Amino acid sequence: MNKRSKQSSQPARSLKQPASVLYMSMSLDGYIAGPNDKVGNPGGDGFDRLHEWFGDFSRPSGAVGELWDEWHPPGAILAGRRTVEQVDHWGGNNQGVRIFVPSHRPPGSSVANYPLVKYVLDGIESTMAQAKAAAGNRIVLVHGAYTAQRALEAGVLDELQIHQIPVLFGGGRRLFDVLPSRVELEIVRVIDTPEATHIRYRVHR
Amino acid sequence: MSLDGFTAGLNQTFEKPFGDNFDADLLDRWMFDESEKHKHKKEIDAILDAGAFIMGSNMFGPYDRRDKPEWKGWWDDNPPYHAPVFVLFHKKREPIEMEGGTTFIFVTEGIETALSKAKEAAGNRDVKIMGGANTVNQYLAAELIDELWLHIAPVTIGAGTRLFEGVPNLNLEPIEVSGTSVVTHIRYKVLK
Repeated sequence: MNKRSKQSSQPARSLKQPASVLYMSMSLDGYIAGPNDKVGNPGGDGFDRLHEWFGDFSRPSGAVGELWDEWHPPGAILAGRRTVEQVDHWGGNNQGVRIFVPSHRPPGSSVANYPLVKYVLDGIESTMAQAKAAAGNRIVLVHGAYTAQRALEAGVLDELQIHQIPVLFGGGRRLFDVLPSRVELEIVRVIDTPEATHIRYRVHR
Repeated sequence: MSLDGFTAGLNQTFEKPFGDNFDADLLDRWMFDESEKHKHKKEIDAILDAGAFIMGSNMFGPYDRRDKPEWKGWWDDNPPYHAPVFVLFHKKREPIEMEGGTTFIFVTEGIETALSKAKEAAGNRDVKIMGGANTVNQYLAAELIDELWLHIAPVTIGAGTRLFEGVPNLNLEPIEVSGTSVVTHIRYKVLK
């Protein structure tokens, strides 16, 4: 992969750290999951198409490799409850970093065995503040579309890393369905490969 | 197009050509800002480099004015096209010859007829489908588009006219990417 990997004419700016960053593969028509997204069919029909650029889960070469290095490992993870429960909190360990879950309800019983996992019951702002404190000078990796939308609404999501996949899905679950009406961003980096256009956005405050 | 897929807001009218909660500025800063437009000369020139154009009736004029004989499009007496412009229309109307080589020709027989007329008029030059979103979506769904030149602005709009609405599964290949902090230009080849 990445035969054509290169930076665009846009000069790469140093990415401010620590930042909270949503990493999301999205079809050109805005879908992050295909139709029929349900238990037993996670991500819906055609979900794999959105992650082909990822190859075999080893570090890609070139500019996409640098992108990979940002979150291998991240400083901390902030993930939605639906996301973490589908994978039972990654068995309590995702790259050895702390995992913060904003929720309205106390965690399920398995979490008692996972010292790295913390449920935060007093809102997304508090969850992000705790995740940033734990992240040191590395990024807070944000997982989950719903959680990302709430973080954007609350003004605590700093950046979006969209992997724009050259395919139209025509149906499924959209990243931006329930966003507040207007969010203005700034493009800070574009990495152009045949498999995906990786666009980094910084949220305007 | 905005990052969330919109090309215009809801309720487009003469007074609000881009609809509610929507300044043209949001998506088109790269074309009109003094500090930006010189950086995108190639993309701006490419939009108008064609032997013929196609546009939807809503791009030609707002619904309550476009049928009237005095309505001659949003542009001045000398529109920027300088070539035949085939307008998808719902009733017959005589062609309008403008200054500078632009002629608006109204086509009531549908998108395929408009395309074959435009191709004939264009000779060996490109036919550009200018929009709006509904027109592009119809052509995409009918698999009549060879390349998609997309300009993605770093803003979410939340509601409006969605590009790609009703377009079924389609694979593309990015063949050229460029941009600045206010837009990403991606030229896609539609894979058949």
